[in-house]
Amino acid sequence: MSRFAASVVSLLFILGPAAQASAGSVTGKVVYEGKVPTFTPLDMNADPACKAKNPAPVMPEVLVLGDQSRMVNVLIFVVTAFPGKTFPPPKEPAVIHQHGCVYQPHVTGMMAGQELLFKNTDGVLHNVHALPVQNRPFNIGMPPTLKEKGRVVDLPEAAFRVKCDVHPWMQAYVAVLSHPFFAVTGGDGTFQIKDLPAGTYEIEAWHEKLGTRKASVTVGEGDTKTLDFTFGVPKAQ
Amino acid sequence: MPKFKMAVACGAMALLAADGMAENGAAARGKKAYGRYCVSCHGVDGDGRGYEAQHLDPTPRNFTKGAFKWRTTPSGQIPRDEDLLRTIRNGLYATAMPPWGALSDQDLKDLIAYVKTFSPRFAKEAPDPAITIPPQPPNNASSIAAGKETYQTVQCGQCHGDGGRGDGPSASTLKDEWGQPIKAHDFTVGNLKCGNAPEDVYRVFMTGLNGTPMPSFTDSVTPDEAWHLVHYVLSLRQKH
Amino acid sequence: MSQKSRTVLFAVVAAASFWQPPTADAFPAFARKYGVACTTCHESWPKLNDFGRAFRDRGYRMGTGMDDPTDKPPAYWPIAIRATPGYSYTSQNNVETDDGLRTLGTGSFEHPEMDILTGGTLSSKASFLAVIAGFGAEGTAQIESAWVRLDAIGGNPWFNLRVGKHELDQPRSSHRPLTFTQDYLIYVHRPVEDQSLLQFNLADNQLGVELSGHDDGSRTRYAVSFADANGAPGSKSLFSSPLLYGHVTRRFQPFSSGALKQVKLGAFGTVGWAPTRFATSGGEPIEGSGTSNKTYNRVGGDLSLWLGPMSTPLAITLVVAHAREAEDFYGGTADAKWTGGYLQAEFTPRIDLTFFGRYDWIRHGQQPLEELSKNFGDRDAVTAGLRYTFSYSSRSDVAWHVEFTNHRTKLVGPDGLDLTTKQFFTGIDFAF
Repeated sequence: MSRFAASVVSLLFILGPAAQASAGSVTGKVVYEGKVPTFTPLDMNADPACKAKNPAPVMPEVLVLGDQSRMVNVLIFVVTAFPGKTFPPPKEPAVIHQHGCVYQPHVTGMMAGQELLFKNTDGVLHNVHALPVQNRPFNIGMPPTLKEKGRVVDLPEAAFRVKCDVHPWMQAYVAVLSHPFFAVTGGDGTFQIKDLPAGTYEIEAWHEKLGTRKASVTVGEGDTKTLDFTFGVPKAQ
Repeated sequence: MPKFKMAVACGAMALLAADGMAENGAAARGKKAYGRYCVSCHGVDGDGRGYEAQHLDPTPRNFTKGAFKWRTTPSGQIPRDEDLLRTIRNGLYATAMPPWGALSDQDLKDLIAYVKTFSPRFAKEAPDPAITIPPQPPNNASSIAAGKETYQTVQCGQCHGDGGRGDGPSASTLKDEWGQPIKAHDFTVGNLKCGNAPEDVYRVFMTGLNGTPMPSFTDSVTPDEAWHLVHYVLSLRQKH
Repeated sequence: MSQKSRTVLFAVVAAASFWQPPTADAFPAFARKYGVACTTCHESWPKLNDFGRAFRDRGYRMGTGMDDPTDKPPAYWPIAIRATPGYSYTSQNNVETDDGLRTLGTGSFEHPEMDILTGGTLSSKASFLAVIAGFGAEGTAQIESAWVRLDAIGGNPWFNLRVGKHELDQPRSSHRPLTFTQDYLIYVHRPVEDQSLLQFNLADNQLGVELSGHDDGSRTRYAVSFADANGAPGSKSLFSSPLLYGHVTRRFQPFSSGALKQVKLGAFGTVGWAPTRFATSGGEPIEGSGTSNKTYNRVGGDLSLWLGPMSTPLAITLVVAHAREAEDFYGGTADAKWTGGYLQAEFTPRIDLTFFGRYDWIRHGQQPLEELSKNFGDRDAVTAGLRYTFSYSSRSDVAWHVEFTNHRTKLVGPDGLDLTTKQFFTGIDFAF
């Protein structure tokens, strides 16, 4: 079999018998424009153990910028529905660490039906206080003796907040999607959404404070499209 | 005289008919009772913003989120009907919520049927069965000592303070789910809001208090450890 | 005493008994204290609903640790006032004038009178009430209530001891009536009033002690009062005019569905002893020297029904009682006996609107004086009206009150005619 045929077959194998077209991907970067506010470091005086873990000041996570004003912790996801297609959730959990008295990662995307697993490697009391609206909220105490605790999140939901009451600066956001076409920008502010069936999609970029940006993209077979997003206030003219 | 009697009879018949129509609407009946007894604190929209609410601390419950503190269901879940009935019947200690036990059982049931209409969660979700509370071990010195150890291991003092006075390092920054400041309970004085019985304290510890920072610890302690902790917490209470 | 002067005196006394100053007992001070609306405790203020009665039975307590006045915000002050300024028109028929019998009527704005109430919890175990009623144009304010109550003695709600001048636990309270122009006749009536040594009536507060009890929610209640009866002449003994009064009630819901929401059944009775002979000085009896005590009593029952939703009910109350007073009190030849009662209905279709109506009756079974015919002084009264509370808050109530009464007393008029008095009242009843 030719290589081309083999890749078609393997792609068909990946996407299932309903897939007619081969997969494309969308990549891009998220950039912040405008004046960067001055942030004061997080006050961890409430817990000396947390302070001890963080000799260097920890800045608030509400706006994290990498090189060239690239934005970290922006969730990019496909808004357009996929009629007739269901995507099974992965068996591996989406993991959020409570490490150094912050949630790592700060923003998580996961799929409906997947397990959300919290790990406590800090040796201090944290509580995982999740505030979804569509899904059932919960508030679980995680003393040092409880190293991990997971909950299956059933329903798709826009990003909801998870907080720790013991350490009020700790915030995380979790978005639950019905498909796997999402990504969260890392330290370099870039994202990549792979294995997207050919078609036209509306893509949304979500930031916890600066709101959302939308863009439309058409992906052909085997295409890689680039889509950049910009947040922030443009400099005054 | 006959006119008077006739007026009474007509009134009675009208009410008989009216009540027959409302029979299939416990929430509709509860709405009337709510307007008489509840609206001044809990508000017309059930959001805890009645005209009295500004003077009350703690503030009246906002029903719209379906978050209730006193339940027999696990953390995050809506309460069962009997939980709501118990709260309405007995009131809540050290709050402005009076005990409504003088009302008839039907009135109380109608009231909770109406209260449940304020949050869509009651239509969408079904609460779990009540959590099982295992038998209580004897409340003696060794249990209290074990409870004190658990208190330290679980780090309850972070919010509740080492002496249980609600003065822990995190206590001043606590906020409820509506963003309002909230106090960690001081175990040393007064009665406990959700009841003083050991089962009540056990239940709060294992199901958490929805809407507040108080989490559930059901995953991190064994039932026996929980009971020892209950005994320790109750031992902190000073009697008046 | 001649027939004529007796009837005139009767009419005067009868007229006076219609217009009692509205006595107090609606308590915005409690609403302020707990931040609840008046409708929480009052079915139609001032009438108590079940929750309000339970609050009162507990010693003016909610019982959730917020009863101490020092826990309250500064807007709470434990004083309430009540007044009912208004206009009243009264007419009576068969008044003897030089031109013959006439129906005379007169209307005027009533002299307003004010009541001051203060009450509440003294400690976790005691409560109190003090009411000074009738601050008015004549400066004759009197202490209507002044008592201290030891609540739930030994932690048991079945034992509460009230000491002082207190209201007897009547089937319907005379201090929280919905009618201003008509007393509950069975409480206040007595034949040939001007001839009787007794002036005791059930409606007035009595000086004494009351032992009372209730279950949780006040579904079953009892009260027993031992008092020095008001208006009874004093005897030379430890208690100059002893009176014993008791009332037991039970309320229950007989059906789980349907319009009849609640039934309350009660039984009450009172027995008193008062002297009929006195030492005299210069022909006048010396107070406190009485001997030869005779008895008087009342025995009755009450039945209340609530139809429709309890928050907007039609409440119907029937009270029937039998009374007996020894002949010696009248200087007569036979004991005075009569029965009477009232049937009252209150319809509260909205929490701010109440229609009320009552029929009172008295029928004599036996007259104390030979020369009186059996139905001399029999009474029928019909009263109806409405109250519209146009301002309800936890700080005050303001109600517009309209009422009309028609009261007929048989054979007491000139030439044995009936006397009929009609009264119309409208005013603003407010409490703060």
